[in-house]
Amino acid sequence: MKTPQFFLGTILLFWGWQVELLWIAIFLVFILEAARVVKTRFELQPSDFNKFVDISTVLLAGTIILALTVEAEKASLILLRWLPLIFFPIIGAQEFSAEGRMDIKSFFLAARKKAEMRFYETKKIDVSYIYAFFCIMSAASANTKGSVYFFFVGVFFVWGLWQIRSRRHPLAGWILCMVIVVILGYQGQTAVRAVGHKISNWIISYYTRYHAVDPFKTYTALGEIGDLKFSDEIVLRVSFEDYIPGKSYLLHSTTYNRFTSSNWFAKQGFEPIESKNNSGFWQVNPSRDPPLKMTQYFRLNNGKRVLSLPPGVIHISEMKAGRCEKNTMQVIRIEEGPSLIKAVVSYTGSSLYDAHPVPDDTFIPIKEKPALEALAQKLGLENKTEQEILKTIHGFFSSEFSYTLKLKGKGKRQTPLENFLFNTKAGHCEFFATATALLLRQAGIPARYATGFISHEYSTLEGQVVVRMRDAHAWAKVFVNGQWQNFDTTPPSFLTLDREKIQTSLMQDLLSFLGFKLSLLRHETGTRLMERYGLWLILPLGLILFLRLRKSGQIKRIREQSPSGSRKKGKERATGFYRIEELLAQKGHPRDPHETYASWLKRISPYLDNREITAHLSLALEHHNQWRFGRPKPMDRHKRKLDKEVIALWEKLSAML
Amino acid sequence: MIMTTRFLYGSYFFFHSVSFWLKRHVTPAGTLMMVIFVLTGIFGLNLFKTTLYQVMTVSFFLVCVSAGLSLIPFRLKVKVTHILPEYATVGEKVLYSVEITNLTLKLQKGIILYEDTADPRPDLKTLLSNKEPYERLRNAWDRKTLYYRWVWLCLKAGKASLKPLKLPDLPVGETIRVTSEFVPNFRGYLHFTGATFARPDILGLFMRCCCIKKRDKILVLPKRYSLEPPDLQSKRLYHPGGVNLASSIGNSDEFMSLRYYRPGDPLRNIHWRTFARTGELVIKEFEDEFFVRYALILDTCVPWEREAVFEEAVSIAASYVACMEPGDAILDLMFAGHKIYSFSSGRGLGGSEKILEILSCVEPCQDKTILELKATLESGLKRISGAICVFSGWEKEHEELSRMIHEALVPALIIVLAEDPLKKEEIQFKTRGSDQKIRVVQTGRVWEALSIP
Repeated sequence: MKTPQFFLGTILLFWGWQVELLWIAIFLVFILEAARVVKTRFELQPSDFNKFVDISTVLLAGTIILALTVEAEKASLILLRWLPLIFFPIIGAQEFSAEGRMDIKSFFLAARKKAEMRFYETKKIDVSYIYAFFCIMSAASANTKGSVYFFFVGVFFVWGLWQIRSRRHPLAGWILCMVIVVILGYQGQTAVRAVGHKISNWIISYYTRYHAVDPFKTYTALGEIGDLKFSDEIVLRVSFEDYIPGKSYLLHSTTYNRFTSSNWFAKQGFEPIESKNNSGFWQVNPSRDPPLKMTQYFRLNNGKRVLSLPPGVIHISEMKAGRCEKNTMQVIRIEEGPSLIKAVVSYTGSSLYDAHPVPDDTFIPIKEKPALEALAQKLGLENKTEQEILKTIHGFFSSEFSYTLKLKGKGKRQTPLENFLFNTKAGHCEFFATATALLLRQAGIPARYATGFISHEYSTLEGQVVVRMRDAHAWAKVFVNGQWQNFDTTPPSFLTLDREKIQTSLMQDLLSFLGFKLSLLRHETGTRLMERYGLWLILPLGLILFLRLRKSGQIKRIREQSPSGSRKKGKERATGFYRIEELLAQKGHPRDPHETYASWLKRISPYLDNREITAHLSLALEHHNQWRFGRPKPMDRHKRKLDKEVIALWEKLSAML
Repeated sequence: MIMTTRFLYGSYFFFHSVSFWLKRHVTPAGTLMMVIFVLTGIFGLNLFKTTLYQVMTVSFFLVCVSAGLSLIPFRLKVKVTHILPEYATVGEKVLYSVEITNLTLKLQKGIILYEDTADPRPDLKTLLSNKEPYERLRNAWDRKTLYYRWVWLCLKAGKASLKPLKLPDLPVGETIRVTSEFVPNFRGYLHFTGATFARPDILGLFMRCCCIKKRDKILVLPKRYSLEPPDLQSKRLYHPGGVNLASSIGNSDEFMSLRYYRPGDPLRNIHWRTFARTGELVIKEFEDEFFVRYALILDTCVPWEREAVFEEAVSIAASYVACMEPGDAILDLMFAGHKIYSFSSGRGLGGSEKILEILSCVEPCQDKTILELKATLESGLKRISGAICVFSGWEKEHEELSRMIHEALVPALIIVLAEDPLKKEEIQFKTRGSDQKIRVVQTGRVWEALSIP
């Protein structure tokens, strides 16, 4: 069934308005609606329809490739946005074809090729309603807030269903039903949105609790980094401008300053950092000269990431992120962006920008207090200067403690920390960092707990420093001489022990590198190429298009308004029988294009249900045929009489129907 | 294996029922609406990226309201009469009429008529024993799942797909006649089991149905070509006993003489006038006849995968049956089925319609060879003036049969069918030395090959 007049055009305009492609939409509407005005039609064979379906398929494939190249994570939305344009060749071909419908097999490549194996009957469909649905779907990609989208969807549904409504029922009943549907629909979509929000929140909380670490969480528990250490997955690729082979670099991710019940917490809020003209340049702190530079590549975790950066970041450039925020402890986090992100970081190398100490930086939980007091007394920290305290603590952990990834809980002691300090004297970096921070606080020096990565592994394969999950590390930050500085007391042997414990796989590294290179090609090289030569990519698509349509000369064009046609029209007017045909078509009895007048009248006679009229129509057709196909004669009296008869019949019919 | 097949059969059976039910109860607009609901449900899952969920809710409530409204009972009391032509032909449009009398007390509007035909679903045994003609070209998965075989068997049993008919208003107590058409795709009987009257709901998405039982049938004849009768230069032969012995039924009126009654003579041949005059029993004697008798030998021993060849063979046989003048000669159709069949027509033994009906229902025979016809043919060769053999190939048994006909000095036209040009060339090469009139015909090019004198 055909769509009502201007239905497709209006939907296309709505789509154009919603997705901000109004000019394209207007152009498409102009072409589609022209099909109603222009009488030229093309005699399209199934093979011709196949070509138009092929064109749309090529466009679809091209759009998918482009979308994946430019913005992989938004590929589905990009595709959805361009759907009406992609499928326009199909609807255009249908609208300008003589038959006005398409063979369903055109949409299935296998069905086309295995023609000899086909024993099904040819099924022809009108794709205009399907196309209208695609336009509505596509408009949804704009994700318009408010009820505008719903209002138009309601209007289109009512409009589309108007012509298929049952004529048996009163119009008021149909209107009432539609009103009920629209009201229920509106309430339903509100409910769906609310339920969706609830489910989404529940899934996120469930997922975060059991399956993933939320990169933005404001606390960490002792043991979390220990868990991370069991993976050799490469999480960062770093190139330092001033790289010194063999040197380890601490890349700071988060800082916590409140310790309670074996958990570290950070209460500082985040503030957005503005990007300069969306160019990927983020000014984090005021500039200082001369800055150091490093480049890193990383992937987002659920669309988010806390950056692992060297101390004293001034600005980050070439970073394509949707949002970037930082807190006073120089924790920088980002949201949204391509799956692989590049960041060129300018930094000073010292924690100049960290906020000055707050009461939380000296807080010691009551539970841990007795053990720390005893230890401080044992080490004689009370009467020492800041530098002496640091030296003593560093010496204490280096000489009496060892590194291990085997966690033994709290044993018979009150807390795991106490067990670490007095019983096991062995643990991983989190214990060392926590113990150091709290011991420093006990000695009266503000201290914080920092986590991040230690970059130390230069990959000859990749030609850059790779940071693995097992390189996750925790250390203390201490405020001395009016400035925060890193203070790492974990025995340096931990890197060797970790490496021995968690073996790397060459194959896995190779695959990881390959994946990285592919991503780089897609996001960096691909985007650059697209920016420079994007338009040229249309060329091969255009070439395919041209090749598909090369044989378009074979398509037979049917012109209704040819010079001979106009003469025919004159004849038609003269006989008047075509007026009767027009009238009957308007009254719901159109003649099919392949139908002869005689078979048409035979078909519709039961519907007319009037023997007199049927007899009159047959007589009129007989006269028409005599005049139309008989020997040309000058206008005589008989002809005039016939015309009068036909006019009378026409009037009778219009009165009756 | 059998468990899997049973499961597949059960699934096909069930989904065929579901699909049939949906076709009767859901309009195309309703189907589109349900598709919209499903698609928007899938693609609109992320409520934060698109607003597709709004379309989903509207389509959902449209479907719900419409489905709810379609539950309103629909009772219709009508009388339905099919006015069917006697025969139809494969591939040719059939026009027929349906008369509907509204026996209810109110005007019925917006009714759609669906013709009900016999259930086309095959049983498990048929599904396993038959093969789809293109099965050899299907991939391993398709051959394993038997889906195409199922579809093929359903289509074959269904004969034709009948389109729904939108009826004009049915005034109270009046009879309206509507004309419909269909194109049969397979030969055999098309059984009408009744008519279903469907009434769309107010939104036009779902329908409520009312079924009326009414049995009727139409015979779909095989496709026929307009061929000339074969010029076999046959002569009239003496047939002892005349036409009445040509078949178990019928008699001859060719009176010859009278003679005295001998025991065993049929009482119906007593000449009663003479008996009345003389009191002696006198018997009428009839003259034995000379007439032309043709044998049409159809090779039905064709494997399922050569269905196209078999259908073409049946079409050629039907074309010759149709082109024979019934008054001129007797035509014996011989083929092998579960047993050996031989039917005669012409010269008062029944018209060619009977033979065409048999040809409409003939099925390929899998467990026999054409040599099974040898004994029947051997006994009848003396009486036969000419033979038309329609063979599906040229194997040893075909050669033997044609040699037998040749040795009996019976003029014959032998038509050998080939699926493709390559096969045609191969058969032409094999038959090149034969003294008989052999025509190798490629399927789909029958008229070109046989219209040449």
